[in-house]
Amino acid sequence: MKFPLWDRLSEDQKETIKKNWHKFSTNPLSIIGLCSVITVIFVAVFAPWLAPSPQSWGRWVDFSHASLPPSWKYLFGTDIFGRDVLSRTMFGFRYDLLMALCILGMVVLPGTFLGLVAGYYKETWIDTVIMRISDIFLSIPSLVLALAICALLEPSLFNSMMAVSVLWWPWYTRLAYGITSSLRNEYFVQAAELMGANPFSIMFREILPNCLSPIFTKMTLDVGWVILIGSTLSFVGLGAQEPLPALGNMVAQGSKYMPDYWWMAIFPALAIAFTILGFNLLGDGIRDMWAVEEI
Amino acid sequence: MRGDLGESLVSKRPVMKDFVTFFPASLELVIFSIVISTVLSIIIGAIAGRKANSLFDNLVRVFSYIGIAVPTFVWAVISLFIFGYVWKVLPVMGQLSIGIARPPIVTGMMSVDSLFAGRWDVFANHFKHMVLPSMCMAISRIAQDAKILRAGIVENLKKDYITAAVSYGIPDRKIMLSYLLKPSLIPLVSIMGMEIAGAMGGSFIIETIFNWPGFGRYGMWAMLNKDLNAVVASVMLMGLFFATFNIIVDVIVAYLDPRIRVMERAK
Repeated sequence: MKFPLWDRLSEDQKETIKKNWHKFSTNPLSIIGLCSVITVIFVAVFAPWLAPSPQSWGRWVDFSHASLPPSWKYLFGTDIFGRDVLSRTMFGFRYDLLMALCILGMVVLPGTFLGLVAGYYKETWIDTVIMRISDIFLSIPSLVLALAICALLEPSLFNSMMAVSVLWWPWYTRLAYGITSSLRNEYFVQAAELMGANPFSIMFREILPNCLSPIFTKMTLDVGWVILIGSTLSFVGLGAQEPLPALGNMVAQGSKYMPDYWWMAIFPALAIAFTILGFNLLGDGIRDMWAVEEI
Repeated sequence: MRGDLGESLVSKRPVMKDFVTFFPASLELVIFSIVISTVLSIIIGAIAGRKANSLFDNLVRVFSYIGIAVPTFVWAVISLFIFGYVWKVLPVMGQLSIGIARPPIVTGMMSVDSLFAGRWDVFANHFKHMVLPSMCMAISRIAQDAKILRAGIVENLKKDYITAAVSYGIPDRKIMLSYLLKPSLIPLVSIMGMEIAGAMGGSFIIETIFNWPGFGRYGMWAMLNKDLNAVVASVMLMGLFFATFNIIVDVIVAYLDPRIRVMERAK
């Protein structure tokens, strides 16, 4: 077997990867996390082909099979419109992962950039302005702020993503700020300054590479939190709207019929817990692997 | 600073007045939930840390992973299912059962008011109503705090002063209580401020689900009705609450941790 990417790496790089993998794989919990994350991503990507009844994801009714309990034909049962809960849960992974991906995508770059700038210009007015603004965002419980922003906008999947992004960037700013301000007076930064390097080139070429592993670790750990907040928003009705099968939505819909039709709420709830658990375990594994202490 | 937060667009009353009416009920719930989570997490975390890698420790580890991963509203829905329909030992809605008269309002916190009025039956009934919502709010916190405390105790057990204390023959119980627990509690206390504010935020969801007439339900209701003044006021008051508790917690940490005190004095 040939692995073109693997063969192109130098011996040192191969050695580092092997060492890291060994550290990561000694903890069975990290492996469980990795496996469940891969499962969730696989199911989310291939949902239209894996789902037993793909038409269930949207506006579709089949009243002759409505509210059926779990059976071999419908593993997770069907909802009041006769849609297969298993298929909807599979599509639900898509929306939750999409949400996490979009939010982190929108948050990490500006957050890290602001942190780098504030840390590099430590103890000037730039530092004060950026860090105090981020403190203002951190001083309000994240859930309350997200709920308030969502409520004032039109409730939709996109707006709930925007709301969570608005309150999530300060964490990355703080992380990057902490690392940058401690590296600020190291010799390699001073050497670059003496050679007359542009401040932005110092920030991105010299300091940023040192922030990457904590930031990546934090991203993995944050996926769980973002999904948690996102599903809470959609549970309240301020996130994705029916008929989109976001998992929080399905729990909210199902909980209305809770005593008799328990399967409509319990299975999506378990799916949320499974996803978050997987990402948390994976994040812990990665943190231990890189021995990141900042988070 | 007059405390004038405008008038609610829906209830047509000053928001401050609504806040004064509804906040005590939330505060009561949050305090109760914090007390539960602190006591349980200290007990669980301390035992798990002392008996590291035992069966109990592994069970706690599993519980803490699950407790963090399951969202609050899922616990709420599950407990509604269990206690509302399967095993009806605890009431699931509101503050008091139907047919019990409310005691006169003094502080607004019903448990305190009922004690002022000397109504033990109301107190007991109200207490039962508080258990489920505050437990649902507490579970993820218990999971997190127990994990942190366990890590702290395992870390501190390796330190030289513990070995010294053991070799002096000081009884296990005394080592645990006076040498081990205090330094291990510091990281726990320092995140407590965040957690109290987080619990306030969590009360928005929990109070709505359990129909608890507190400030969280009021804020949620304002948000769903796009009552702008009330939304702005509730977000601002939450921020104020958060800042206040963080200051209090910082003072407590400085009191507990001699290192911080000495460092401040050296400056």
